[in-house]
Amino acid sequence: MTPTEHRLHAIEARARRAYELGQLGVALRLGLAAAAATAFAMVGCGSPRGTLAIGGALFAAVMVLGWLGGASRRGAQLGLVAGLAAAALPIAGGASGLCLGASGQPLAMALCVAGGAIGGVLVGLRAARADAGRAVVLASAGFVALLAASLGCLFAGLGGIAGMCAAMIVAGAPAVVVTARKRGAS
Amino acid sequence: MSAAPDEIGTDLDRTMARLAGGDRAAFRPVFDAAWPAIRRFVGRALGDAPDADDVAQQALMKIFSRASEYDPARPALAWMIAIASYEVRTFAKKRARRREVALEGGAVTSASLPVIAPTAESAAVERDLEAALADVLETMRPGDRDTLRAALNGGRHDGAEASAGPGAGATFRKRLERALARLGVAWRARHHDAD
Repeated sequence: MTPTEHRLHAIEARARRAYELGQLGVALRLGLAAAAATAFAMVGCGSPRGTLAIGGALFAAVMVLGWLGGASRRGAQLGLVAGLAAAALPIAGGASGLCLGASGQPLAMALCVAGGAIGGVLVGLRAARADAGRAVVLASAGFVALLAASLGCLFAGLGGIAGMCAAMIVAGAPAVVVTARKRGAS
Repeated sequence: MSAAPDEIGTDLDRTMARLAGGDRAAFRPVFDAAWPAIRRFVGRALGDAPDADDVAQQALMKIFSRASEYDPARPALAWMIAIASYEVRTFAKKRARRREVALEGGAVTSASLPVIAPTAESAAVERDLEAALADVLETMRPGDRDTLRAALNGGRHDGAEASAGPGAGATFRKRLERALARLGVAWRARHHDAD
């Protein structure tokens, strides 16, 4: 290798490192949003250990998807927004003390289902509008949204999380189909 | 047959958009197109100064670290040149600041100044000025006098200042700044009031 080639090779290696660090920086912003959401969820009446476990999984998921970039990153961003919107209702209910005790359980369940439906519609509508990599956007958004929304439903137990997941899928699927058809027709 | 500039631009736009979207396979084509263009631009902007290569590399690192911010609706080359221009401006400002600091700190020695052959007239003017300056210096505090003399002789690097440890340069610059301000006041008081 000539000295010029060697120098060019070194510059390319530095540029590649700069690119990867830049990608990591973007992923870290998503990770920080996930960490903030986890901290906020800790304020609610869920189990701290469970919240930390789900928060850790959410952080790892958005970091990896954010670092990958492209459709995966767009999906992670969408999923985080939709998931946090879904989690807002049950977190607010839990923090206000409405859902405490056995009598509050049906209300907690209802809030989780309603939140899941909101998140599902958001993911379905937005993911189906993606220009490229629609399936990847939908998959990563759905995964991240489920994790983020689970942060809010933890206090309602596994039943609450299952109800939220089911509502998200049931509400999200028609939204995907309708939006995709509309785009196909136009 | 070589590609037309428009085609190069469109190709670069496409590959840059892929890279911004996280497609690592697009890195090499973008690097191959961007580096020579940035190097040429920075070289022209800085008149091929010895630092041009460093500035071009810095600009390239910025371009790749901010790749995810690239808007595919914009021409990639224009976006890259905008980043490189910013780096060039920053470098030019730093260089100007370094020169100012060097002048303020008395790092400019007679050896680094252009040599102008003295005429009889300029020598007489120089003598007059030196006498006038000596006059004003006599009216100043001994501390200020020493600081100004040290700066004029490039004496910042010897004696007590050099052994004073880190931060001595900054302290000296501040003292010199104050001494120069007082010299200005004294000069005006002595010579302008005399007019």
